[in-house]
Amino acid sequence: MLAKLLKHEFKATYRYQCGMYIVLFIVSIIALVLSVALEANPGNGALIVTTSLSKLMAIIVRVAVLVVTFVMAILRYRKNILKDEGYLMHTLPVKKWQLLVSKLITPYVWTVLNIIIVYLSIALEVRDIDILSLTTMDLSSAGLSSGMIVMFVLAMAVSLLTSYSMFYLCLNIGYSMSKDKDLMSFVSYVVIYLINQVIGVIEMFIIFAFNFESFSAITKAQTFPVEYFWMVMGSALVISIIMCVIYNMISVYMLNKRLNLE
Amino acid sequence: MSVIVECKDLTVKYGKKVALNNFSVEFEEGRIVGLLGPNGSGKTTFIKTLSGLITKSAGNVTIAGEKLGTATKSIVSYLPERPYFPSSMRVKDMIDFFNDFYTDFNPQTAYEMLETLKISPKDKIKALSKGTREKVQLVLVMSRSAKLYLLDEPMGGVDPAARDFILKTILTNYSKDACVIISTHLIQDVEQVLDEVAFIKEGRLAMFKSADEIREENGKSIDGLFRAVFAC
Amino acid sequence: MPWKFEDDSPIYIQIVEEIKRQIASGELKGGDKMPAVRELALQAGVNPNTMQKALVELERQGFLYTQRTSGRFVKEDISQRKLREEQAQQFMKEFTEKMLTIGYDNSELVEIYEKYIKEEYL
Repeated sequence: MLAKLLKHEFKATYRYQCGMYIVLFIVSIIALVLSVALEANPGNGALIVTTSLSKLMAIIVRVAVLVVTFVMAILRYRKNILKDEGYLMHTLPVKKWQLLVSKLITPYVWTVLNIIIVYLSIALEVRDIDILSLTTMDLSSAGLSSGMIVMFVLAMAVSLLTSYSMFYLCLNIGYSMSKDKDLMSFVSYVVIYLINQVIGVIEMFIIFAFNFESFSAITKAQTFPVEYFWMVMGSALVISIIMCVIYNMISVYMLNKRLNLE
Repeated sequence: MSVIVECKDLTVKYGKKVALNNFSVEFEEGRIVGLLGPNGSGKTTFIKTLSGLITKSAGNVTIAGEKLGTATKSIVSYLPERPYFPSSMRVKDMIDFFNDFYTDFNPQTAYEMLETLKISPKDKIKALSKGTREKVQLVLVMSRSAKLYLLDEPMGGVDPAARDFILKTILTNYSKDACVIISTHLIQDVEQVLDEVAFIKEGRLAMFKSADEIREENGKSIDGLFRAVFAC
Repeated sequence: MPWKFEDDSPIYIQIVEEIKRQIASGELKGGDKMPAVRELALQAGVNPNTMQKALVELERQGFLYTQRTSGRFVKEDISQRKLREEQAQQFMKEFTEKMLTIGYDNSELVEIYEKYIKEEYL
C-alpha cells in the first residue's frame, strides 16, 4: 500500500518539479552562453550587465527550486490530508502511518534530486564539474577530517526529515482544532520551536557541565576544536533523531484519534 | 440473513457536545436503508464513524463482524457529501486511483456508466459542473463490490434527471450480499427504493421500521411521517 | 422512467394493483414471461425486495406462477373480464367517494357521469 501511495505522490508532484528543472536548465544555459560571449568580448557593457543579471537569475532559480519543493510539500500535506481530499485519503484501506511516511519520503527524494540538479546546473554554468574543488581539497590543513564532513551531511539529512515532520505535526495539531486551524498551526509551530530552543540550551549546558575542564583547553587551542565539533554535532544529531521520532509518533496519534475533517 | 452493521451503544462526542448518544441499530445484508433525520441529528456523524473518519467515544461497532479499522475500509464504499478528489485529476486518473487501492473495484463498470452519462474519461474534474462531478463520484463508489455502501446526501443539489440516475444506479448495483445506507433529508425522492428506515433524532434512534410497515400503520408516506415526527 | 406511487399505501401493494391493471388491459397477456425481479425493480424504480414481495403476492393471488427453471409467467386462464370488473369496482368506489366529498348527492351521479362521457368522448 505504501508503494501505491508513493506512486500517487510522485504522479501528483512530478509536473511542477520537472517544470522547475527545465526552467533551471534554460536559465543555466543562458548564463553559460552569455558568460562565453562576455569572455570573447570583455569590454562590452551590455554583455557585462546581462551576464550578471543572468547569473543572478540562475541563483534565484536554484534557491527557488529548493524552497518551492519544501513549501509545496507542506501545502500539499495540508490539502491532501487535512482538507476535503482527506475524505478520500482517510477512507482508503491504508494505515495512517503509511500516509504520513509517503508524505515524508516523496519531498525528501525530490530534495535529494534538487541538490544533484542544482549542482549540475552550477557545473554547467561554470563549465567545471568539480565546483567545490572536492578532489583537490586539503582537509587536514583546515583541521577537518572526511569523517566530519560525513557527520555534517548526515546531520543535515536528518534535520531535513525532522523539519518536514515538525511542520506536518504543527498542521495536524492546528487542524484538530474546531476553528482558526491555520492560526493554531502557526501557534503550535511557535510553541514547538521554542521547546526546541529550550532543549538546545539544555543540551549545551549538559555538554558544558560534563566537559568543564576540556573546555578551557579548547578555548586556548589554535586549531579547530575537534572534540567540540563531535560533541555538539553528535548531540544535535541524536536530539534531531529523537525529535523526529517523537514528532511522527504524535502525528500518527493525531491522525488516528484526533482527525477533524470539516 | 447476516448482519452487516452492528452498532451497540455507540456514543460519539465532540468535546462536550454529544453527537451520538447510545445509538444502537442493526442493518442486514441485501437491504437498502434510509437514514433520516434533520440537520445536526447525528446522521453525518454516524456515517463518518462507519467510514472510519471519526473515532467513537464509547460503544461497539462492527462491520461484517470486523471492528472498525483498515480491514473494514476495504469493504466500505463511502460517498461523502462534498467533492473529495484533487481537482487537477482527470476522470481516468480517478478510476486508476480507485483501481489501485480497492481490490473490489471494477473499472469496466465505471467506464460503462460514464459512457451512458456521456462523460469523457479524459475530462479534468475542475472542468466538470458540480452535478457532473457528483455523478462521477457516485459512479466510482458504486463500481465497487463492497459490503457496505454509505451514501451521504447523494441527491443534494442535483437536478431531477440526475436524481433518477442516482436511484437507478443504486438499484442496478444492488446486491443481496451488501447493505446500502442512504443518509438524506430529501426523503420523497428516495422513498420507493428503501427497504427500511431509521429515524435519527438528537443522536438517538427514534424509530427503525420497514418502509411498508410505516405506510401501512400510518397511512402516509415516509416523508409525511418524518414531518410529523420532527415537527418543530 | 420510474413508476409513480401514492403516499398512502405500501408500495408492493400498489405494484400488485398496477400489474393486475396491465393484465386487465391486455398489456400483459396470459403466458407472457415476466422480467427478472431485478430488471422489473429497475424499471419500476423500486427496491428489489419490494418487487419480490409484490410478485410473491401476485402468485399467491393466482395471477402469476413460477416455473422453476424458466422463471415467472402470467397465468393463462385469467378471466380478463372478471379482473377488469374487479378493478372497475375499485376505481368506481374511489371516484364515487371523491364526488360525494364535493357535495354531490348519490342520485345526481349517474346523470353527471353520462353527461361527461357524452361531451368528452362522443
